[in-house]
Amino acid sequence: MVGVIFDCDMGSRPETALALAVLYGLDGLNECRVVVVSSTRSNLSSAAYCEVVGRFYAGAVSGAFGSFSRTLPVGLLADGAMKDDTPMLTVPLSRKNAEGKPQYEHGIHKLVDTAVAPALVRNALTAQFDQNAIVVLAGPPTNLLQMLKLRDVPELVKAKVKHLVAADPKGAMALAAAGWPTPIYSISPSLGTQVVFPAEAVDKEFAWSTAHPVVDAYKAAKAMPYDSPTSELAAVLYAVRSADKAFALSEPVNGVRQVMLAPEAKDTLLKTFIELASAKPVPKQRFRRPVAADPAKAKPEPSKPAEPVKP
Amino acid sequence: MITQKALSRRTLLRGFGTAIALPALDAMAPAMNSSKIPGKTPVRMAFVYVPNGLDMRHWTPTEEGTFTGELPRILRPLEPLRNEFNILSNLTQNGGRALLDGAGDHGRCCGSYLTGVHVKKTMVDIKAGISCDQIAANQVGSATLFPSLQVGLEDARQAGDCDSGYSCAYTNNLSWKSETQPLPPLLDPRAMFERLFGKGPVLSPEARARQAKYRKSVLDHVTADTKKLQGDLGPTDRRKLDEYLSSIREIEKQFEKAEGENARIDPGMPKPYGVPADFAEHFRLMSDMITVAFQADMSRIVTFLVTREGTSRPYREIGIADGHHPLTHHQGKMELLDKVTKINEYHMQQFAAWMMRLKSIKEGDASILDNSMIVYGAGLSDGNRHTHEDLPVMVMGRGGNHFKGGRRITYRKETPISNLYLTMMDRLGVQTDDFGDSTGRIDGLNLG
Repeated sequence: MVGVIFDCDMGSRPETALALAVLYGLDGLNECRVVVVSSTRSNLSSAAYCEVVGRFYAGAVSGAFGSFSRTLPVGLLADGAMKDDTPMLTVPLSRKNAEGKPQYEHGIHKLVDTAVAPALVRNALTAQFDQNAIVVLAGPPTNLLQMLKLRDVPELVKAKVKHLVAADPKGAMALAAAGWPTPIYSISPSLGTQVVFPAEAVDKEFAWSTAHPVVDAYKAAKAMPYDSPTSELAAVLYAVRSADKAFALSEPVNGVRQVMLAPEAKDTLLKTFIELASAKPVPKQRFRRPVAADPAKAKPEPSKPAEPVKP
Repeated sequence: MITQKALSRRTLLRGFGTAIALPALDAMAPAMNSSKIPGKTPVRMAFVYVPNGLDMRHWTPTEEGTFTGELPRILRPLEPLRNEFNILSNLTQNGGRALLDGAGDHGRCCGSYLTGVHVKKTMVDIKAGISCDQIAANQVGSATLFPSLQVGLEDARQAGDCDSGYSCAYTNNLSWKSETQPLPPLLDPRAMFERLFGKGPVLSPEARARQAKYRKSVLDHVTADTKKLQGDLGPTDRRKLDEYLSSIREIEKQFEKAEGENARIDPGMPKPYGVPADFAEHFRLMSDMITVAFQADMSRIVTFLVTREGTSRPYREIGIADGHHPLTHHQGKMELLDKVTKINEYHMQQFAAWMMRLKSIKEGDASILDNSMIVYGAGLSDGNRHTHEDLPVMVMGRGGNHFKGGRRITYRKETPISNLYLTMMDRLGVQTDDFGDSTGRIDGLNLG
């Protein structure tokens, strides 16, 4: 099963929280393993929120190192001044439950509770089978560019990483220019605006949980209702389901191929996004079923109708 | 104008088959500057490795920064030296992790400890990397008689399966001269002694026994040189020289005692001639000789494998008949955990006594400990779960008035321990941009 490294700038856009939910949705379906999550947003809350989402989906999170299913710390860029908090981070992190305790637990209170992102991602790659890792970039490429400068890392990336998918063409181009040694794909900007995540889905499809960190972040980020672009969600989905017929590819330009929306695939893609983002956490399985040879057969089952969870 | 000629730092006391280096003496400095050692004060680098991880509950100080209050249980023997060391938290040795190679954390963690690489899982065609002590020895080791010394107390087997398909070469060595050539530790105190003070080849156990029968002190061989030198020295240097030569004689006496006791004590396992049956005495002998080697600037680089990684050695001398390794798989049982802690404490007691000796030996205005950086630690953190992150790491000494001690410094997670080694190599004058899986130097150790 392929391992996914998700490097983002959590806190800058609500779309990123949805993209992480899609990734854990795919993990829950055993289509991938979330190996590492890291953020280029120099902000403790950014890392804390990533950990909150990871813990929320704890049943689906798989440890990359050693035995006992240990999970990895969140990687964070810390290159000087810390960035400001944003409501999409502070609202879920400060939410209290009925007992007055934090609704979402996390263990990130100091910088030393986070990992050095380039070392973390590099170390995570060393634990992957050859050509069995995928990198998703949902933010600036700073962490990955720093990692690429470490000794022997270009060779490591070449051996381990099947491909990299960037939500933003600029990040993809920067990595290509820096010599990223495996195929790079970027999501066409038009795709992200053609398929938008509807506000009503945030209200309706996640209703099975009275406390969902992705919903809390989404609603806090901007005044509701609003729809979100989906470039980052598409980056995650394409990374794992690159054979999905909802996508079409451009010819490579400067080493980067653009991922576009296939004709008449808009509704299908939106449905998939909603199903995956709103999927319930899956209890950890000791033994995972193998990935189907044909990705089409590995299609997720439609999520069940919303079942409100009792507080 | 000062014209008095200084005694050479390289002066040796010579005799039949013997050459004894000298400690730093005031006479080696130009007149009117007697407390300064000529040239740059040598900085020593040593690595003291204990196996099977540690009970981290009793290792890590609860608070960040300057030590306040009582030290954790394992560190308590170091109370008199609390301002001489730092505890570094969150350092990781990624090379020790499985990384798809399955079981064998003990084999991997020791092989990767100073090499910073993921060793090849094999019992035949071993492959690791050049260890940081050997990189340093290659670049700066020529300044001393021995570019580096490798010392151990337990097992120097170099072949066979010592952990789930990992060669014993990985569990029983810290130093690697090349990717395929480990440098086995010297276990026999007498062989070490002869290496340091005798010019001839190391004798076989039988030849050594014959010599022992008619043994003379090595000091007897250099009597003429000693007397001549003493006549040229002032009272302070004469006292220093006496203390130094007495410490060598003390080591010899320990041999004689240990060898005598070997005839009466059954250690329960075959041991080469001359190795004391008592662990603490063995530790003391070997550490005394490292001390003399530091004192006389015979070597500045040492690795000390206290016991082999994965060892199941019992510690009956402190009432623990269970093997160390099985105990570390305590599964949370407090009775077993307490025994692990006691073993950790016992090791630390030996180390602390050695460090206090280094602190007591003056070198110019400072002590040998001040001019050293000695890493004490293990390649595993939690021996029960075989974790390779947040390793137990202590840096003892000030690295030549460079490090500020008395603190717990926590680094960000996944910071490679190789970054520490790179920083230490800098202090030694080694020119290298990176090492192992390093991502840079570590900060926070400096005086600031």
